[in-house]
Order: sequence, then structure tokens, then C-alpha cells
Amino acid sequence: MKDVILSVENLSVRFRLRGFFLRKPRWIRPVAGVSFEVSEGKTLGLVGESGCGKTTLAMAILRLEKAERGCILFRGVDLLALSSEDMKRLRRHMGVVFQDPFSSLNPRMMVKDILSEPFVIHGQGRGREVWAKSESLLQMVGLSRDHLFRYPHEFSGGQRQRIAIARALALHPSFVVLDEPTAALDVSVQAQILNLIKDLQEQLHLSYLFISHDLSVIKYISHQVAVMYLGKLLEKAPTAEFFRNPCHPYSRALLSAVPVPSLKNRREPPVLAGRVPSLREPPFGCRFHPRCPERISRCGQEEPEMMEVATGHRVACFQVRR
Amino acid sequence: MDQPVVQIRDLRTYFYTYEGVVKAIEGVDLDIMSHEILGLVGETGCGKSVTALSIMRLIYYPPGKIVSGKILLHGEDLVVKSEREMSKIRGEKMAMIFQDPMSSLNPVKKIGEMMTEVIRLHLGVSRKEAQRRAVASLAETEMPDPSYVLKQYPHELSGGMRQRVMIATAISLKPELLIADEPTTALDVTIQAQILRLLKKLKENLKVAILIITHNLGVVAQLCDRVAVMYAGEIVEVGTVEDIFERPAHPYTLGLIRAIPRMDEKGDRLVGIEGNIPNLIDPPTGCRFHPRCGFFHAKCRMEKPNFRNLNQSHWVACHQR
Repeated sequence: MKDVILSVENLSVRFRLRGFFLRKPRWIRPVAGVSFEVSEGKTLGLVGESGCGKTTLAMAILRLEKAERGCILFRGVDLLALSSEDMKRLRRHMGVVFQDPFSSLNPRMMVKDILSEPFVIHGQGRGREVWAKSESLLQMVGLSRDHLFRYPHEFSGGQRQRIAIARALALHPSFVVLDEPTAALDVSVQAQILNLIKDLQEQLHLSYLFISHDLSVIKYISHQVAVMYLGKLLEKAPTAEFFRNPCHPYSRALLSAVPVPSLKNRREPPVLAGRVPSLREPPFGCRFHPRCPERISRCGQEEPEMMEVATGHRVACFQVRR
Repeated sequence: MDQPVVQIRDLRTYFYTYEGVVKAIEGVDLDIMSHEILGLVGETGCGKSVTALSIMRLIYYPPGKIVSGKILLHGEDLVVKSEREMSKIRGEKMAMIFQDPMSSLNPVKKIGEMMTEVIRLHLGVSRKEAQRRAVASLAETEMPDPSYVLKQYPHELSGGMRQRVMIATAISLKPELLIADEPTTALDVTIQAQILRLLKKLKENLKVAILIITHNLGVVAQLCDRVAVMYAGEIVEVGTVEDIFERPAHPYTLGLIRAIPRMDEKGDRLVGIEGNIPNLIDPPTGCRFHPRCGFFHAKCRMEKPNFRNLNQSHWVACHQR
């Protein structure tokens, strides 16, 4: 497809676990064969519970984490085949905003230095000339030039996240990874930041990979939804379709577990029993089957393939029919 | 009619810091009824947790101090109790669970040691009896295989399990009031759903009053019977969940409700609340919300609004209503 900016195919990441002396090395795969696409100017919302591999996946895409196998095509260029020099050059086109704005900004750097660092690293000017650029970046995210000469501790959580967003956008990237950018913020501030992220996408024609555990945020911000569980994608669909017709039992369980702030839907949701299994011994077959209310014997024997149930709506489950 | 377990009257808790006196709680009145789940909502730094810690008398000087007011537990004022009397009341009459279960459990003690220590200290029962009670209260929290869990260390348990241990310890002495400070914030949604269901069940089975502190209005809507909304150290609105969600009266409550992205409704744009939470060393005059309020007029800056009742259960502190 022409309008795909990022395409990930069968990506896996593995970590080595350090054991006792002389013990056989053991490996875990927080990302185990994941494929998806991000369209130009759109947002892919990646949702899953903690430890499901969302962040590792994002870091592997930015090549901040080494991939084991697979293929990451960014505008047709295979990122995994690039030398680190070439990768560094290409990273200009990719931005990243992390979850915690308290630890992602260097406390010893003034805002002007935080914002001009990307320009300096990529040799796009230095000193005073980048200040002007920094200033316009700040304006873009709703701060003013007075903030240039301050340190991160002088800002509230929402303002810090604005600075982190400005830094991510400094070099005019076309693709931005947003890793739970509002998880550490209060709702009234979260609303401001989500609106900002949406507005910037329109103005600058950005493509986002938006990671969150909060389905209501995902619904608000994304065009496509991908549900991740224990290193695998279980369902991918356009947002409206996903919320109208969630097909995977895990997606449905996630949706019903979200406490809705309204009395109309006050109900006793069917609660998903148990917890996410350890990555050390991922269940055989479908990774969700030990907790699945609809499992059949086949689920524990073989792994379901992704199957298309409607246009653009793919599910990995034996129980779902075309 | 339900009786109030705890009545808070004109509570003021200040913190004395180098920068000045932080008026974290400024005149809070609140009743917690027996057999209810009361939600205390508000954003970071609004004084929710300080209110809870004040009820438990866990504010220590320096830097914090309960400056004035009364906290009545069945008519007895806790503010004037000695530390010795309080340590008896804590646990037996009221207990508290915290947001992050890992940092509130002792990592070098087995779950069993911790739980039996509490029970033996308060009830003076034998080791065996304490063990039996610990297993019983773990079973109450739907913990699978309670006697095995007693032999484990906190790091061997998942987040949801740890929170169950916290809850089991808190209810092991059959308190009348359970305070839960953001009990599900650190948990995943599916685990959160399990814990919320558990809290509801405990209210029914143990007839315990629960004060739940949260910033998540979804949790409030699904769990609570009544709600108190707090802003900058003051309670701005109190009512039943129906009052708060169907007829929110205070502009701040309205703002909070509108700021949440909704899964059940279509919305193109969220409405945030402009501005930031005020500095409590030098809070705004009059109504503390006025600098961020869309309905504000001159009176709001001059005069602090009094609480007025809109109906029997619904109270609001706003000049406009």
C-alpha cells in the first residue's frame, strides 16, 4: 500500500535471563512475531496490560532495543538492515515521547538546552540560531518563550509533557511513538495533552504509534486499534469497528473491565479470572487460552492465525468465524 | 437509617515547610455512614490522601499538623486521643490500604509473619489462632490457596495478589471503617475489576464502611454509593452517585466529568480544565476554584461560598447555584 509509513512484519525481541552459575541460559520473548502497519497521518493505538510487550515493541521499532528477527519497513527502508550511522540519520524522522515526564527530562538542563539538543546532535545549527527554533516549538505546544530559561522542576506534569512533545517534534519527524504520554497526568490535564497531540497531528500530518493501557484514551485518539497480550497481537481493527464489534474474547474482557464513568452502564461485569502468565513459560497454543472463558481443546494445542473477519479487522482466535 | 461511623467537622490540616504554611485541608466537613462506599475524588494534590491520613491520625509534626477541627468516631473525638489510644483504634476500628502494595509490604517478611503479627499484637491470641484468622481473612479476599500464600514473600506475588494481602490484613481485625487510598491505580484494568468487585463484596459481607480515594471517576460510578468532590483542600460537592453524575452542580465537578475520554459515547473533542491546581501556600481568595472557573463573577473572588443543599443528599459550595 502506498500510504503506509511503517510496516512491521513478524517482529520478535528476546531477552536473556541471567540465572545461577552454570545454569543453561534462558530466554524470554516479550515480543513474539508481531505484524502491523501504521498509515500515513494516522494513529495506531496499541493497547495491552502491563508486561505485554507494548513498550519493548516500540523500542525495537526505534532500534533502541535489538530485534531478534523480523522486518521493520519505514517508508520502504528496512530499519534492521541499516548500519548504526544510517539509523542515526534516519532517526530524525522519528520522535518519541515517554510516559513519565519527570524522568524523561534531564533535571540539570534548561528547557532551551533540552529543545536545542536534537538540532545539535543532528548538526542542524547551534547556539542562538536554534533558540529561535526552540521558541517556536514551545509556542506550538502552548508554552511561551519565558519558559526557555527554566529547569524541568519548575513545571507541572502537564507542562513537562508539553516540553517532551516539543522535543520529539524538534526535527520535524513524520512518525512519533507516544508511550503512555498521559498515564502520569490528571484527567483535566490529560484532556489538554490529548487535544494537543490530536491538533499537532492535523497541523503537521504526523503518524503516531500511541501506546496506552487505557481503552477510553485509545478510542479518543486512534484510527486503528491493536490489542496485545503476552507478546502477541490478538486483534487489529479500525477504531469504530473495534468498539462496535470486538471479536477476541480478551478484547471483550478488557472492554468490559473498564469502569465507565456513567450510571447507565452500572453493572457487574464478568470478571476475567487469574492473571497474565509469566513470559518465562508462555502457554502453548493461544496465549490467552488459560484465562479464556470460551476456550476449546484446540486452543491449547495450536496457535490461531490472524484471520480477517471484516475489512481491515483481523482476529487471532479459533472461535471467531468469518 | 444508616448511622455515621465517622463525622469530620471543620478539619484543618497544615504542613509547615520552609516556603510557608501549606494549607492542605481547609475546613472539611464529611460524614461516612455505616454500610456505604463513599468516594473521595479530586486531582493530585487536592488533599484527598491528607484527609485520609488525618482520619487515621497519621499526620506527624513536623511538618504536618491537624490545626483544628474534630474527627468523631461514633461520637469520640480522635484528634485529642493519645498516640497509644490511637494505635489501638487503628486496625481494630479502622484500617487503611495504600496505592502501591509493594512499598507498603515489608519485603523481608513473609506474608504470614506480617499478618499474624498484626493479629497477635491487637488480640493477644496464640500463634496458631492468629494463623487461622489470617487464613480466614485471606480466604475472604478470594485468595487462591491462602495457607500457601502465608509462606511467601511479597515479591513472589503479583500486584493484584499483594493488594489482596493488604486488604486481608486490613480486614483481619474486623474494622468498622476501611480507607482505601487509590487501591487500584497501580493495577491493570482486568485486575482492577477483580479488586473492585471484591471491595463491593466486602461491604456486603462484613458490613464495613469504605472510604475510597480515587481520581478515577469510572471507579466512582461503578463502585460508590456517595461521592465527595475535593478541590484544593476543600470539599466542593457531596452527593449520591446519581446526584454527582446526573446533576453535577459545581463547575469543577462538571469540568472533571467532561474531561474524561469516554468509551461509551462518541466525542470529537475533550474539554480540559484550563490552568493548573493552585499553590496551597497562597491559595486564591474566595472560592478556590474561581481562577479556573468558567462561570466566575466578582463575588467568587471576594467571598468563600458556603455549603448549600440542593436536595436532601446533594450539597454544593458555589455562589452560582
